[in-house]
Formats: sequence, structure tokens, C-alpha cells
Amino acid sequence: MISERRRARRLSLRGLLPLVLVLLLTPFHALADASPNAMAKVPAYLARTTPGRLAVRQRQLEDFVSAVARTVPRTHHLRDPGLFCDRFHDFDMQRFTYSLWGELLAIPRRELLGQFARFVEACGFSPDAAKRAGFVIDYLYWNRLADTTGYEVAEVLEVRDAFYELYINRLVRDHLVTDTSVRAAGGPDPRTFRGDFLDASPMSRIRWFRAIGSALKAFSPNERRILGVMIDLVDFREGHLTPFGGELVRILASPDDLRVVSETHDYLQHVRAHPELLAERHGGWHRLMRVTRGRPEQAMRVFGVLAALLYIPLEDLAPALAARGQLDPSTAQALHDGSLSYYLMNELDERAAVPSARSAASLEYHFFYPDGFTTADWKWYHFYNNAHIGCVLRRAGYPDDAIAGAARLLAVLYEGTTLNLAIPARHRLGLDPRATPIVESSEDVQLNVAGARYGVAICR
Amino acid sequence: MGVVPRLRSTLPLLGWLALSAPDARADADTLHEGEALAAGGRTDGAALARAKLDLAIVPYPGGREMWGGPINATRVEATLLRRDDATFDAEEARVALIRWPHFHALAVERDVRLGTTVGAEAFGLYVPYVLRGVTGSDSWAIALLGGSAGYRYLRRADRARVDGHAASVTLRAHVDDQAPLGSGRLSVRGAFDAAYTVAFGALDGEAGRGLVQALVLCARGGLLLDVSRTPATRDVPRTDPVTGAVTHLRQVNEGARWRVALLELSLELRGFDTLSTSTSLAAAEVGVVHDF
Repeated sequence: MISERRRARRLSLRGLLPLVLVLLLTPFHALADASPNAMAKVPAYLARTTPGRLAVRQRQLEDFVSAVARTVPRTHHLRDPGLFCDRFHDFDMQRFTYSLWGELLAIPRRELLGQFARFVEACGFSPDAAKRAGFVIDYLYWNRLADTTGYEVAEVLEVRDAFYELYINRLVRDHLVTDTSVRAAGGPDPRTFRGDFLDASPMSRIRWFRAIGSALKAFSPNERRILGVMIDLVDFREGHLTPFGGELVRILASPDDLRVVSETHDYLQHVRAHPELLAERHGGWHRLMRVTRGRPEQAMRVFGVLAALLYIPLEDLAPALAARGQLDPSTAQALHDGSLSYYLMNELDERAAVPSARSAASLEYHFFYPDGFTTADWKWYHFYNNAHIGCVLRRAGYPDDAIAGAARLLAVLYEGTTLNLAIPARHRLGLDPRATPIVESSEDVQLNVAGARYGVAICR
Repeated sequence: MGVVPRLRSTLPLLGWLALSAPDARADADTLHEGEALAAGGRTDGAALARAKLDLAIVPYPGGREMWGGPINATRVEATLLRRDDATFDAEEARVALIRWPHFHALAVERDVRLGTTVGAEAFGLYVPYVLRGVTGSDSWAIALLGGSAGYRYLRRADRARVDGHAASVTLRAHVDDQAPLGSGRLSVRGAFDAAYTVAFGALDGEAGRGLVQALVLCARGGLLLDVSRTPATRDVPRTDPVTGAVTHLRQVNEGARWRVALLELSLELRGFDTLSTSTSLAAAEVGVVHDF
């Protein structure tokens, strides 16, 4: 009986072999030629290279936000509008979980998007108000509450993305103006960039991660060495949130990487206007392969580093480059497009996803993943980022299993840390603070490992 | 999915729970956050009443400048017994200041089932493993593997085999499981807990020479009826971007809900027990819970 089973398994594997060979040997362009996304003619989008052009887009976004604001009665007013308009740091959501959130959550959920649009409008479309509105909507999305606003999830993300684009647009515009004034002044003043991202020293707290890695004797020596390499690659700098500093600088210095970011941004905006393209399974991936000329490792590196980090590289790198008079139009556009790509990819991935066969509660995300890979986890950036890391480590000669093991370990450390950050907000939102975050973290860890394995596979 | 396939998928779990074993320890670390009240009887003739309360009172480290809210962490629980001879005893009581799934710290407890008149858990570290479940679903099973360290004051009068002060270490494997039955309001919950405790120190007056241990296997299975006003799940609409067809996801409404525990059965088995004089037993309870 056992031998029959083995033979049957061997036969079924043999049956798959030709298919695997066909996939490996088929030139990419043969697949791409059959892909509506890869072949889509994408017109050049409004440039993001000068303050003037960015201002044109800004007005379009303001009109959109005002239209959303008109969908609700002007009945809700914040006790302290300053809390909404003032400068917004990423940690402010934790800081104001009880004060600001309590007030925002008292607004009828089905009016929430419109009221946020009203508040942003009332703040003069200030970038901080727009970012705050985007951030709160993200919290609803992360906690699977976006649909409670009365809109479909993808529609909520469209509004969220308008808020974030307002923020990103304004930030790039302001730093381009600074850059121009630095150049006009005849060059930078070194005192203005002391301690900024390009001047910062390595983060001192990172030694704790190294200590944990080296203390875990249960892991193989290779996994411990890899953990050290990964920590170097992550390259945290003192006083800044942005990881992968060295990688980011190299991407911004590469004309081909800048082209990939810019062309992909234009494609993402094109798909928003042509939703029929979302019907193609893995269509976004096919386009990425066309843009990168069949180099998945470039897609994973550029989007796994620049786009996966949201607006954080823009917040750290743009002021540092502008202070030195080095924020070229193409660099500014790449920082803009990279920041926005995180959101647009998420929005389109959500729209293209199909109901999962595994659970009536889940979706199957496929649009930006390689053929044959799907996931129930919306966090595409976990896959891309770890695929890039896996690729780097494979090229450095580390064994496959050790790379996957190290990716799992780093993901567990990360998830174990961030698990607790969700607790106050989940408590305020009245959500399960224990079991659900564990299930979600476990899915994230699995996606990290899948990404690392993919990176290993494409970089042999 | 209908009731029958769900029952079928749950049967192996219930069978496994029945073969392993329950008691108050089995749900001491439950991942279900909230409040619970239960009453029932045990095979040793005792009647019991249990209460559990989860509080969010500890401010986040870093203060209000960094975090504006408390953390969900504090758990208060107690089990009161009425024995055959009409005497009462607080068999188990615990105030755990920080009780995250993967990190415990600063608990004071009384656990007569382990001969402990009073004890303290200094800290505990656990690694969660998801055995079953996807985000957005109300069907999951999660295992926690880890251990804790602390202090125990052992007394023969409280069912210890020795008297004395001891440092103790507990290694634990814990599983929490829940699954809805059909698309209605009935659900089953199970918990399994295997804990090996070793205590050492000044026992029976011989400083540094005593060492006692106990292996306790506990299992609990319960049938619960959701009596909350709002539905347990909601349909999340999605419009196909090409065809315009609308489909729905069925996602759980995550808020705390009221449930009646129609019946909870538990069983506790003990082995290598030189720590206490407690014996294996089974219990049946009914109760009310308000939790996630």
C-alpha cells in the first residue's frame, strides 16, 4: 500500500515536471505578450518633478476631498480642531488613542469618511491633517473595519490614498522649494544637516537585536551569521525611522531604478482608470516584469525597499537631500512615486483580490504576486521586502534553509514587538486584543518566509 | 458550510480533549479576553464557583507623551470551593498585572491544587503558534509554548506534601481552540494545558535541599450560546471591478460578546506529583462569559 502511494506520488510529480520546465524555459516575453497588463499602453502621467506640476495635482486632490466632504452633513465639529490640523507624527496615533480617537470614533461610522474630508478641508488641506485622516482610515483597514464606513473596502482605500497623496505631494513640493533655495544660495550650509538621515550614526539599540541573535544557540551558526548580515542590511540610523538607508541611496542613484519607479507609478494610476485590467490574474506582476525587463530581483529590491516603507524614506531622505541641494527632479519624483506606490498597490491588490477557497472570511490576493503564488494576507510589502533580503543573502552564498530560518526568526522578533503596539488602539476600537493579533502575526511571518524563499529561488 | 461538516471537523478535537484532561488551570491562560462567571461540581464532591476579570489599567511604558492609553494585560481570577463538609476555600486566586499572550510579569497567586498557599510569578515567556485559523474568522486554535519562574510558599495544610519556601519553574504547553457550529450562535471552545512544575528550596526546614515536582494535564471543552443582541458575523460586500457582480465575505464582528456556557466539562490528570496531594478529577460547569 505504502509503495503504491509512493509510486503514485512520484508519477504525479513526474506529471508536473514538464509544466515546471515549460515555465522555466519559456522566455518571459512569450508570457508577457499574452498579458493585457504587460501590453497596456500607459500614457505618461502628470509629472511630479516641479512645484508647479505638483500644485496642479494638489488642486485635483483638493477637489476630490471637497467632493467627499459634501456627502455628509456639516454637523460634527471637533472640540479642539488643532488636534486634527497640528503636526502629525507616526506615533501620535498611539499618543492620542484615547483623547482624539474617542472623539473621532463617536462620529457615526457611516459619516466618518466624509467628516474626515471636512476636517481636512477645514484645516486648509494641511499635509498633517491629510496624513492624520489617512492614518486613522488605515487603522480601520488594518483592523478589518473599513467596510463599517458604509463603503466597500477598496473605495475606502481610494479615499485614504487621496489623503496620503495630498500629504506626499505637499512634502515633495516643499522640499523641492528648499532645494531650489539652497542651490540659489550657492550651496549647502553643513550646519543645517547635522544629525539628519545622511549624517546619522548607526542606531545604538540595534546591538540588542544582535545580542538576541547570538544568544539563540538553538539556531544554526549559519542562521546566526545571516541574522547579523540582515541587521547590517536593515541599516537603522540613530534618531530616524527609515531602515535600508544604504539600499535607498543606491536606488536613488540608479537611473534604471528611477525609471522603474516612475513607469510603475504611471501604470498604477492607469489601472485605477481602467479597472478591466484587474481581471487578469497576476496582471500587476506581469506589468512589473515588463517594466523591469524580466528581472524579478529588481522589482523586489525597488518596491521591497522604496515602496514598502511608505512615506518614511521621503520624510527622512528628501529633507536631507534638499538641505544639500541634491534633490534632483527625478529623485524627488522617485521618492513621491515610491511613497504612493505602497498605497496604490495595496488599493489595486484589494480591488483585484478574489474570495478565498480556504475561508469565507478571506480574500486571495494575487495581482502583484508572481504566477502561482497567492496569499490571504494583504501586506504585499512583507513578501517583496523579504524576497529582496533573501536574494541578497543567496547571492552572498548562504544556504536556502538557513535564509528562510533567519527570515522567520527576524519576523517573529518584529511581530513579537509590534503585537503589543496594537493593544491600546484595539482596546479603544473594542476589538479582540489577544487571539486575532496572534493569528494575523502568524500570517505575516508566513508571508515573510514565502518572500524569502522566493528571493532565494530567483537569485540562484 | 453546514452544521454536520463543522461538527465532523470538531469531533477529533473534542475526542482529543476527552482523552487528555481539565480544571481551572486549563483556562488560566486563556486567550479569550473578558469577564467570566461559572459554577459547577467536581468528582471529588466539591461545588465550585469561578470568576475572571480582565482589566486594562496598566499605563503603557513611556508615559502619556508616548502612549495615550492603557494596555490590556491585567487579569484577576478566583475559584471558590464548597466541600462536602460545608467548608469553603479559595482554592485558586490570581492577580496578574501583565499577562500578555507571550509575556507575563508580576503575578501574585494562590493555587492549592499545587500546594501553594501563596506564590508569585516573576515573569513568563511564551511563543505562540497558530495551529488553525485565518484573520477575520472566528475559528482558530493557538498553542502557547514556554515557561515561567517564581516563588511558592508551600504548606501541608494547603495540600502540599512539604512545608517551605521554594523557587519554582513551570514549563507549559497550552492550546486554546474555538469553532462555530454551523452559521448560528452556537460554538465550541476547548483548552488543553500540560504543565510541568518543579519547585526547590527550603522545604521541611532543610534549606536548599528540597525538590518537588508535578506534571498536570488539563483539558476543558465547552458548548457556548451567543446571546448578544448584534449578529456574530457580518457580510462584507465586494463588487467585481469588471463584471459588477457583488459577492460577500463573512467576517466576524470582533467586539466582546455575551455568551452562556451551556456546559463545560473538564478533566485533570496528574503525574510525578511530589508537590501536592491533589488527585485527578473531573468537573462540570455552567456559566456566563462576556469576552472576545
